[in-house]
Amino acid sequence: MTKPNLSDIYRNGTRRAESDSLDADAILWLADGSATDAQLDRVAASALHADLIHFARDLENESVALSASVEGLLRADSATHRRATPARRTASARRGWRIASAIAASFVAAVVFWNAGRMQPHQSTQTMASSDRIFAGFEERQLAQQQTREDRIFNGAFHSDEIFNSRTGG
Amino acid sequence: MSLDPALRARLQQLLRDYGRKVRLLIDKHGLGQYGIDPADIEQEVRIRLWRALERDRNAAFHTSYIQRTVLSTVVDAIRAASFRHAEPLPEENSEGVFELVESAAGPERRAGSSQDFGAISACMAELPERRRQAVALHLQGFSFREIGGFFGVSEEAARKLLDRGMETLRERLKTQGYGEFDD
Repeated sequence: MTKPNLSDIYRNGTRRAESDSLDADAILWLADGSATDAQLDRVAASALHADLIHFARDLENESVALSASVEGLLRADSATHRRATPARRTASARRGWRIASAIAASFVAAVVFWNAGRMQPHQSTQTMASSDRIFAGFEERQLAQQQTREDRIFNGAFHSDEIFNSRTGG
Repeated sequence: MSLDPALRARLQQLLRDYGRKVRLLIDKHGLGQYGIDPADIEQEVRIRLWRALERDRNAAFHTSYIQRTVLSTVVDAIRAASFRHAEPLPEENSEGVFELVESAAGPERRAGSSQDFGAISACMAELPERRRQAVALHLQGFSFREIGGFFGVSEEAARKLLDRGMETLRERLKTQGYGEFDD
């Protein structure tokens, strides 16, 4: 007759899933070998906690391997990106300069055209006006009217005449 | 974040492989007995880790982070299973707790095991704290080295502590008429 197994009986007796007290961080902490007395009592009294700790310990090797593989892949990818980036950056900078130069040239051209269009008729009008004002016959009357102030000096109503006026008695 | 298709495929392959290993470990440690489906856990772990990678590929994908993700997934699933299990029979089970009964065990055997467990627990309760803890951890499947690690002592010291504890436990069980036990 086989003897009853203490471990089987104890584990069956403590195989109650106390899900409320489960804490992933605490299990990891325990799996790492650190435990308070209260935590140890809980593990001792719960097959579920014990099973999760065993599971977490076995999981560590696989997790280390996954972490290393993922980091390796990402690092290799970043290195590839870094190598590709300077050439791409130079090309895009050159393209940027070309675009900026084209815009600047267009702007300068536009300003030149605009100025040229604005100045040409203005200059001719001014030239005509100044020359016409002096020499054009049709403005003679107008010029004559404008001469009123200058003519005032030689006007009969000149003030100095008042000095020699007979009304002054002099 | 947009990942290069080739990189994306390789990362997904890594997570698929890891998910399969997680599933094997769940089977190895008999976590299925707590009402969880290893296939569901495998899929959920892959999804959670992939989301983490997509969220920020520059964030460190540390071992501890990966482990925590898996443990959280398993714990969530056990809680959900516990809730499902406890729902139909609220009068027989206290909230958040369910007892897993071996379907193969007959009522007599279960009653016998329950009686044995009661006697073992009573005898263990009389042991000094450190010995009681060492015995309980040993019965839960922890090695001398692991027990020593918990107590911060050497493997040899843990072995001595355990030997004394087990000897006392056997003697007390014998005195109460329980005969011989294997451990």
